[in-house]
Amino acid sequence: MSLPIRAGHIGKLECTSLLSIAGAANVFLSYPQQLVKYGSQASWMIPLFSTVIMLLIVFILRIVQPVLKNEDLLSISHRAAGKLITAVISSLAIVYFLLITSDELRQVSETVLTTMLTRSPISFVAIPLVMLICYFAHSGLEAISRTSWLVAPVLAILLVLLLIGMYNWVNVDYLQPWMGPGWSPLFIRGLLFTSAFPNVLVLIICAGSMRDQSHIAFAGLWSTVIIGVVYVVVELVCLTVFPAQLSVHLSFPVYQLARIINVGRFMERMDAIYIFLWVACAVTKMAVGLWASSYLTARMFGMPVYRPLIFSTAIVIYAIAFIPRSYPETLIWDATIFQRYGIVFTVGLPLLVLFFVLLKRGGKRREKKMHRTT
Amino acid sequence: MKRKCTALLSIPLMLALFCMTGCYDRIELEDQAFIVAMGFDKGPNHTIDVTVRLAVPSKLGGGAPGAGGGGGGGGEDLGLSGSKPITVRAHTITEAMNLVNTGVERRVSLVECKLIVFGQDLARDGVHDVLSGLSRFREFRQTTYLQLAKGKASEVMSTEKPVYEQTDVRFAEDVALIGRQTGFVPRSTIHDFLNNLAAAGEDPFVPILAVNKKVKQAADQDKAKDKGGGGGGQGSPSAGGMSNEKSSAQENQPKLLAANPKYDAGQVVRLGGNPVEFIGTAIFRGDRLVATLDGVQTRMLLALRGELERIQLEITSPFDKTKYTGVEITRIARPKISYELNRNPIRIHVHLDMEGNLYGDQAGTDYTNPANVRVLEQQVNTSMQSVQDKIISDVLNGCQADPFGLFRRARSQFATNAELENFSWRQKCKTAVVDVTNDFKMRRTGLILSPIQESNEDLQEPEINKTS
Repeated sequence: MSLPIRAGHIGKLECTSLLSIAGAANVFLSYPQQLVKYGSQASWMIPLFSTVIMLLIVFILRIVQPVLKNEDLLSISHRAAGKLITAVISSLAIVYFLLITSDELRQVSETVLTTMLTRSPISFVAIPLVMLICYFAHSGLEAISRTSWLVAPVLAILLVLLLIGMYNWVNVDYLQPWMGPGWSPLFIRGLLFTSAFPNVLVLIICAGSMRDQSHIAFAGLWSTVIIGVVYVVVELVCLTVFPAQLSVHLSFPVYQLARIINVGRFMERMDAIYIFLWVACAVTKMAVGLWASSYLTARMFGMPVYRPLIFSTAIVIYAIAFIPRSYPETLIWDATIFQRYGIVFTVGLPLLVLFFVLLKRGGKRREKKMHRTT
Repeated sequence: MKRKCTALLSIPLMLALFCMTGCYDRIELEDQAFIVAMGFDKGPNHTIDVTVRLAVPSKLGGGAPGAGGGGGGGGEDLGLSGSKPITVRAHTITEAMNLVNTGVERRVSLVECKLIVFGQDLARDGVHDVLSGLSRFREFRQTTYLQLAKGKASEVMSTEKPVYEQTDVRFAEDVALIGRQTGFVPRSTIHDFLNNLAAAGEDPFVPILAVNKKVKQAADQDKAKDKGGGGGGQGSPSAGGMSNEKSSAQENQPKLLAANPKYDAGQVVRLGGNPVEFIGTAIFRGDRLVATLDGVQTRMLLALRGELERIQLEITSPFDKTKYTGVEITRIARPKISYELNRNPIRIHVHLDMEGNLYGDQAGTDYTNPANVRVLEQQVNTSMQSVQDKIISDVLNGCQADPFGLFRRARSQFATNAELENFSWRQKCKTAVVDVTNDFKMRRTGLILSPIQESNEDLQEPEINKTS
């Protein structure tokens, strides 16, 4: 079965890097601080729990993988659950991608404004970002994934250097008491933090474009592991450099890490390099969000192409991004909407679709069995 | 058609590039005045006196600041970084920055600020307001060094004349580096201070800067002599030929009055060098100054924290109480700390493992004899422990402050935050019993294995002594 809209072909490594970068983008923004708010010095365990939960979803995906025949979220749900359910699922997914992309746009713009371009108006930062993601999304998923694959090694090296640069500030005592607020708050927050792992949802949307369908589980597994490792390691380093009581007050903990790199007398003031790191990650995430919302809208309404929708969707994203009046209000939105209910989209939607596929597969098997017995 | 559309679209895009050649945040280098050091003193009526020193690179042409004037200064003593400090009175740091700009024609910037000095009075009242104000500034970095001025920060900043360095930036870095060498001053950055302030079970500390009145007086006398055409450098006698002039000049030379060396900030018995000396530690409880330690006590603070790298320690010889023995001490492991938190009062056991070399012995003891080595090791342990017990009693029990990091490591004894909060460590400080065990091992005796003995021949007294 081929998709009604062509979205190019994605290799397994390109797909893995795309999903990993898009998933880990928020680690450079306020998420480490948000994690500390809920988990104190044990907050590094929260993404660990989330990773385990997401790996279970990937495991289910691995089970249904053989049944998928070049299908995406909508074709699977349409085949398995009918037109109405598909409309509901796609509407939910579109709203989700619009909202997370708007949230990302606002947070990145505010971060750049607070840390680098302090005198510029916010539109001066946000408009070029929107133009850039429009270009990316217009180029298609294949282009975005290939670009991700190209920049992924650079981003990985920069991140590793940042963490190594902290060696003279690390104090492991700050991680104690090990259990922080206790097991149950950590686990509940770990469950909710799966909202920071949009990779499986994106994977199901772009599953039909995979060059080889047998690589879907590979991309899901490795992207989940990479996102989890990045969150856990960055959080661990943040907490050993800034104690939980301090990092909970930092607006951008990773930026603060970059600012205190101080090796000898000359290796300092490296933060400018790291602006590239998080803007590159954020642009990838926003481009995927814009592409996914345009693509799903086009598919839902049976349009043959999605590209004409990109600019109008981008305007909607830009408009939503400026609904919160301030950066603290943006963070409140993020904490109360995405971090609390994001699980419905990142875990609930993929589970629902995979459940339908499993049901359908079970039904077919029963039919075959009955046919054989008669 | 598609090509035409692309060409048409590219025209406005290319035109847009011309609008993006500059940006709102562009500030030319020559439009900025870089603050390299800031001092904060308590002012009247809830104000703060902010002293700033600006870097004026064009006036840093040549010559050490201590030598009086830079190359561009035309012989005028401009002080560190090529400028004299500027002090303004304000309610907040932002207000102070704006007021500094009423007398400085360029936009002041904190990008290059590397040193913050707190005045003693302000530190006693608490430095939280100043630090929280500074940490919000994007230009400000947490790697900035912190120091406490004994007295007023403005006085210290206007008096300091480093022997080598020409900028506050290098001066601050050097103080931190020399602290690792001598152990007389700890290293403290804003990052360290905020961490100690925020984390449970630890209190901040900063090095002390103080004006040594005797050195300053001598430097002022030299300066006055230079102005009066007396010639000569710092501390050098005048080059007159007459013997009576020479003797009067020698009489006017400042003298080292104290009988023994001192390790208190501002009291070190010395002549020459920077009138501002860096020795000792200011201890804070929360954000308030509660105690000060001298240089020797600072070494023991660092030893208890496991941050003492390598120091030379002078102790009374165990074999001759009138002589001194010098040992070089290095820590070989992180302090081992064990806790008995269920006891009342709580007990903390600290074990310090150190090793070192003999590098001087006035008593002429033969340390190739292992028995003598044991005695010396015991003497080092006892001498260190007496200082450690005193500072623990004064600071931990007396002031309920823990710069030693004893309770920071006790956090491992609790599983959750709730358990830690219920422990109320601050109250337990008052009665806590800390048993410190020093385990010093002398490994080497330097280039001389055993003491060089005098020959048995009768020494003739010098001829000059006989006649006189």
